[in-house]
Amino acid sequence: MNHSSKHSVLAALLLSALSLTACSSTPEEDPIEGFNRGVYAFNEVLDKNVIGPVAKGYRYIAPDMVREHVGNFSDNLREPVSMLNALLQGDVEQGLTSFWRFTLNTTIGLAGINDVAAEMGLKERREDFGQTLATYGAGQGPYIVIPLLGPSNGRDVIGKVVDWFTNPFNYIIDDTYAQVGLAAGQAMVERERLIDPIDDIYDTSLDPYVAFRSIYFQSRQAQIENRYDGEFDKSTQTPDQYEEDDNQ
Amino acid sequence: MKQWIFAALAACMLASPAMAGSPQGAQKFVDSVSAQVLDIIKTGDSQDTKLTKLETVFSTAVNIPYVGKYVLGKHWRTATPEQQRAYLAAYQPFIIKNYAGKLTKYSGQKYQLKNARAAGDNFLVTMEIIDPGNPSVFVDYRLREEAGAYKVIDISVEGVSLVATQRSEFNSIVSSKGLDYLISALQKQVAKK
Repeated sequence: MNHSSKHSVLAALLLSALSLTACSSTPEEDPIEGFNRGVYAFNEVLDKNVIGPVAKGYRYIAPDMVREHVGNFSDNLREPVSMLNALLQGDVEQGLTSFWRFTLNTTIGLAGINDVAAEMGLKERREDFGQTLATYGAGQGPYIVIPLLGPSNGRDVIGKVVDWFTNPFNYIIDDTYAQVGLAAGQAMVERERLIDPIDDIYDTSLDPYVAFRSIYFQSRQAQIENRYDGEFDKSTQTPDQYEEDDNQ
Repeated sequence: MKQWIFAALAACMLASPAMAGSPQGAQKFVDSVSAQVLDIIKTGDSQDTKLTKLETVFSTAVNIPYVGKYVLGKHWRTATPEQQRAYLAAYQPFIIKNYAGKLTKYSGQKYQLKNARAAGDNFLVTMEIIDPGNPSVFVDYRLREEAGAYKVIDISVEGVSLVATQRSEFNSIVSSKGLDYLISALQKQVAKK
């Protein structure tokens, strides 16, 4: 893809993101549930038979220390996108935190394999363009289960594409196979971290499709609000869903 | 069991008597239950004994009928009294089996209570679980004070509420297949393994 066509793709995505504002939806709206359940069934088979076992194999083979370094390396590669999005959200302080995390971890932390910044009190906080769109007031759009990638929504699909194009490593690495390979490796790191909670859902849920959907909406909301950041003043401001219900 | 009652009583006495509970009282309660759970896990008891003890702590600390009604949402009101009874009878072992057992997975993490605050008629207590080498995990406990005793009515991990998730699931199942189907699904899940 040449640069001008990349720009037109970005422009088109931004336009469609803004159009989501007009149709912001209530939580857990799922107008294409039939389609989504089909994709979910496919993903579940794939996850139970291939992706999950590979993640468990990785956990079994690689010692804790190795996985910690690999995880740090993978997280460090996400830092430029987090920095950009913190700044796009107007959060200069977090943008600087991200900048120093990347600078320190890439140098003193030896290409990111050690999270030396966290030891200095600069904690990781992921930001992405989906979250940025939410802070601009864009609605989440319909819930969408993507083949292979899993739960998402209209807003986050656009966010993911923009994240891909704004990730400097996708320009430094000039080979599509290498780019996709790296992304797959990072996805494996995330899947290994989620082995226990996902096993729990498979074991205990009466309708895993709905459980994953609900969890996706809730955890994205907490990330957008940065709910566990600082002094928790934000969490008291969020509408209290428990109180709004009238069924008791 | 006796220790448990003392801990609960102590938590209540420390709370201001004029008010119906306080964030500090709720925090003390979460602290005492957490200490109890750690004590059970650290003993040399067999896994089965530990599990039985944890189940007792869990079912005393959590207001299970309240949670059960809440997660059923609007379908609670339309259920017949017999359905309500059958549902709660099936829900109790379901939630105990699926959640008390998770407490045994503790593996040396430390916890710290970060914040306690009022949220409407309820209280929220935030716990940070610190696991060296991994990012901290934040857990919110929602508590209700009733007749001088605190009870947990929701647990959220990283913003994901157990109650909200189960409510979505149950609503989807009851809407498409009916309440009797849900009750038998709960019973089947408990009988599994």
